[in-house]
Amino acid sequence: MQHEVGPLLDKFDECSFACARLKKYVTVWNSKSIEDLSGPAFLDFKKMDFAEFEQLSSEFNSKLREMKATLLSRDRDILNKSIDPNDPTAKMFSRLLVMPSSSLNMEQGA
Amino acid sequence: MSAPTVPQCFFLDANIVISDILNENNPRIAKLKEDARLNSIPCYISDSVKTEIYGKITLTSNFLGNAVRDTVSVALEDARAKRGTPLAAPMNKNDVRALEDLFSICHDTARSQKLSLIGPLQEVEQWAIKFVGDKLNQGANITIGNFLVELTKKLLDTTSKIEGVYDNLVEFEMGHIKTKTIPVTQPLANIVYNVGIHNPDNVHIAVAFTYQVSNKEKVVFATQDYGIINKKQDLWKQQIMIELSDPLYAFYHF
Repeated sequence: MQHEVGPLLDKFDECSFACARLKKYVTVWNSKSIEDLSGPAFLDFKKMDFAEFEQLSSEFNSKLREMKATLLSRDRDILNKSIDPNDPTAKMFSRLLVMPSSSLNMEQGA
Repeated sequence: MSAPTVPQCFFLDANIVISDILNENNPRIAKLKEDARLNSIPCYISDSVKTEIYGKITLTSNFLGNAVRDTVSVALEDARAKRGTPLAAPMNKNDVRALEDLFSICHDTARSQKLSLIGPLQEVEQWAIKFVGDKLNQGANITIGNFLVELTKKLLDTTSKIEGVYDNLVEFEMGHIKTKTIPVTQPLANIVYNVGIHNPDNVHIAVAFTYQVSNKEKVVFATQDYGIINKKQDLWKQQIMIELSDPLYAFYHF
């Protein structure tokens, strides 16, 4: 049993550490006091160093992807999901996806 | 059809994979998948297609995040401040009209500067107004803060689902698509570019053609972009003898 579950737990640990680091980073930089650390009232992106945030996000994404790969190697259907094409948000997302990338540059106007 | 004398494969453009990720039930793409399955024809994408798809998903997510945070949120709060209405008061038709004013200014600015932002903004506008309209129709007592949180939650939920399907289909190759890593030859990509097929499509085609030549397999590059398909004769004149086809007809080009 330990032999079976061990590698999964290792991957899960890596992923949850990366998640905790990202969460702590966001929390600490948005806390005004020690009490706030358990949950700041407001989260403001501008209070964080973007490069650091991006690095932690990308580490988390990479660990998450590794964990998914481990799960999929055991059961290919375990993460099977599909988009509801009639959902209004999915419809909007899909219409935006087929537009030219240049049209999604917010700095152009607005 | 008789058994092929040379191995065959499809190379897919990003628009085909995106349609698949979004579960759009496109009959043209369904036909290609069926042809591939019945005839055991492999479907490949190049690294460049993979990069384009992931880039577009990320760009769209960021655009939507910015639109909600910087555009919708700021406009609603500013309009409340001008009207002297507290932020904690429930939303009403005045908030919808504040969004109308905002999007009207956005449309004017985009039009006057000949920007291509009108389409995407219209999408966000229609979605946000439908969302708040539904809440008001249901008689929901919703504050601006709650509305923005719900809007953001819906976006995050959709984005993570799309990324999940992308991972399963492209990163983990759980479906019919396999990625081929083939180095792109820049002079070849330039020739494709010079016939009017722009980046990154020129790279996708250069990679597919390189694969065809080096593996001696017949490749059909399937795309829904007729701007590309119509350049086939120009490519052939440059000795880049690759089939370009709509997915509906792709199988018949072998």
